[in-house]
Amino acid sequence: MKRKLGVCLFALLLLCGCWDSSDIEDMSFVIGFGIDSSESEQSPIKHTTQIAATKKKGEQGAAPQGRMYQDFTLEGRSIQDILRALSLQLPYPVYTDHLESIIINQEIASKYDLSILLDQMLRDNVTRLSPLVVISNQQASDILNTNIDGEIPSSYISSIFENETSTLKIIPGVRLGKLAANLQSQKSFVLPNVKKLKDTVMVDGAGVVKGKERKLVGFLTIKEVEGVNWLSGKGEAGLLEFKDERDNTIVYEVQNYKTKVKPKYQNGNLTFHVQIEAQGWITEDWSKSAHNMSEHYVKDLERLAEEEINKLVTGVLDKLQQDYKTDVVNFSDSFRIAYPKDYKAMKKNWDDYFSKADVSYHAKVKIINTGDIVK
Amino acid sequence: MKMGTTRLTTIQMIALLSSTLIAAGIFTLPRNLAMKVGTPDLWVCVLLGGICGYLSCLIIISLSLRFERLTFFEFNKLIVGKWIGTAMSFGFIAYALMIGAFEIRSMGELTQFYLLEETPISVILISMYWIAIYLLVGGINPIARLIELLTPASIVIFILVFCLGLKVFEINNLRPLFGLGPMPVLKGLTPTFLTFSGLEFLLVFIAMMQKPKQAKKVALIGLGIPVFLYLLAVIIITGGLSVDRMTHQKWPTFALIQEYEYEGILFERFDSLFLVVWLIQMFTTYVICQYVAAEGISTLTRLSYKKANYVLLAVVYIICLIPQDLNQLEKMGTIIGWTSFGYSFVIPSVLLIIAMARRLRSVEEEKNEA
Repeated sequence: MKRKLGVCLFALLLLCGCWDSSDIEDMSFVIGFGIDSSESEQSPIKHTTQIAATKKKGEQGAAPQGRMYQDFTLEGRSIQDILRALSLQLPYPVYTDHLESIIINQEIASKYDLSILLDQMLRDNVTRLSPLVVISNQQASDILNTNIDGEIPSSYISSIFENETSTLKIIPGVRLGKLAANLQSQKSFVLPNVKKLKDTVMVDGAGVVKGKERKLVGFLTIKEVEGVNWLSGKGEAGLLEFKDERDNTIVYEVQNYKTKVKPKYQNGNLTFHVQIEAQGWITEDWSKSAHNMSEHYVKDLERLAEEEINKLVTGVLDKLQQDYKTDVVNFSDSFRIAYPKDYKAMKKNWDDYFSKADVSYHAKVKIINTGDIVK
Repeated sequence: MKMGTTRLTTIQMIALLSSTLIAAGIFTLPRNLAMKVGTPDLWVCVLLGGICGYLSCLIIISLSLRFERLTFFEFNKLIVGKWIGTAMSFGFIAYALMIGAFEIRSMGELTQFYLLEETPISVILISMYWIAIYLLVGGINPIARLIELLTPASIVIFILVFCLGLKVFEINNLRPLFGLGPMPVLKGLTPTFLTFSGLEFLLVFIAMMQKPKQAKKVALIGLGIPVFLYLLAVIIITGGLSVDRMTHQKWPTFALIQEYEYEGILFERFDSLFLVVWLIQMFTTYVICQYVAAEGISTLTRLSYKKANYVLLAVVYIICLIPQDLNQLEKMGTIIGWTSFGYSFVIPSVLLIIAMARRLRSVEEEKNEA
């Protein structure tokens, strides 16, 4: 009996604890990162860390309008070093498991290879691959410091991207993992651009990243983003606003749409035919002469909507092919599937091939419902 | 008899075989495949690798069934004589220990990277060893029963976690099939076959089956389950990450699981759940390896099974500390794979041919006794 008791006590000694235990109140949860460039040459990177103020939340009822986050902006030569430098002013170690968004300033994104800038986050064992990456033509540190009532800016930004079902003016959020995939295969892509307003943040167009250099080369406006969505087929649903012959505004709500890209490669000539098919409702119609019971009228609206789509697509294709010479609408995927052998050879200079390709497109719009009103 | 006399049931054997095969490969296979193949045809390799594995299982089975109730350690002497046989047996023991050490070390490294950063790796390893030895000294029956209990649950969780990855799945990443012809697929056969190292343990376990006649069924289902799991994993990972990305990710499986989050259900993130189940599978693989080694030692030497286990524990620990870093560990994995090719295909075929040529069969009275 005594011996057994001894064994039990000895076993207790072995249970002395866990090396990796850390109390949740002694951790700093990082919600957002902001990367800017700084003036000094010694420390080219200005990095902002946004930490959720967990301490305050614990005290129920105490100052709910107080800031829910803390920002630390430091300069340095590497991101890991900056994060560690935080321990000089923050008693609780930073924990990046709950990172929600990463904001990159346009200046630094056009100066540095993005895969270098994000290397620390991709290498790290705690950071997940699910945070969203956005670009901004303002200072990332400013955006992270937007005063939104009761919200943390970086999680606010990541929540905006849940709206991709209600508008086509936003490109689907780019997760860190997806971004890494694009960087590694040297594919060009778009990153949403965010802008600070007085006390909110908005998504305003997108930044174009060229795959070969992995750098930001330019921006797309909201209108152009719509075009990108129509071309890539990556959007969920949204609105299409157009005018009829008498300049009345009509709104077509896209329930769902499909984009099919058919590549053709013959004797060194690359052509794409894009077939866009949309289904949806009319949700607003300002024209007085509307006859939405008449088939003729609905056909007319469909034709107008198709023209509008064509207009959007033409606008953005010109810019992508002429100005930026980048394939951000993922035509490379359809080409890879159709001509795997040729793609292997063309992969390295795909953007050049894309910019010289002939693209024809045809939109087909179907109006299923004209709404709960008969005029 | 050294330990429990009850034999293994068919279901236990199926669980045993499939949990031996589900191991480190879940983490390493996707990248190795992607690096070798480079096209989205990865999953075809898994399927073909599985078929090859089944063929070598059939060789092992027809060999083992010739010598009923005799394990590899006993019957190889009958075929090729005492000296070569003993050398083969010791090679087999060393090989089993190597797999065991490799699995435990990989487990330790991953646990340290993703879960317990500060904990010394030796603590992670030793705690695993201690639990294993507690199970091992009981003989094959407790091992088989534990595995029978754990395997279905882990398979369900594996399938669940992979299927949740469908959230980031893009079918275009899997197209086109055979875009660059069938050559890349053939290149991918080696890593797949190496992943299925462990099926040569059938050489030992068939002798312990209640109904050795059902060995073929065991091989089919026991191999089918891991092949299905690997297939599922590779398809979903390729669809979710794209082949390009897989070659750049150290552990693509984990990258996939980290990429999705679900809101509003019991769990939001599934990394820990997956790791737990994977740890269990690593543990069972290790236990089986060590069991085979200890069984071999006790057959060949005068050491009892129990004592052999304790001695081997130290040996395995030393082996598993040999690789200095992750790259060396990976090399060890490749060496194991090639040895596995020898023991699961070359040696059984040679033995089978010799046995057939010499018309060797097991002695009849063994059968009557059983």
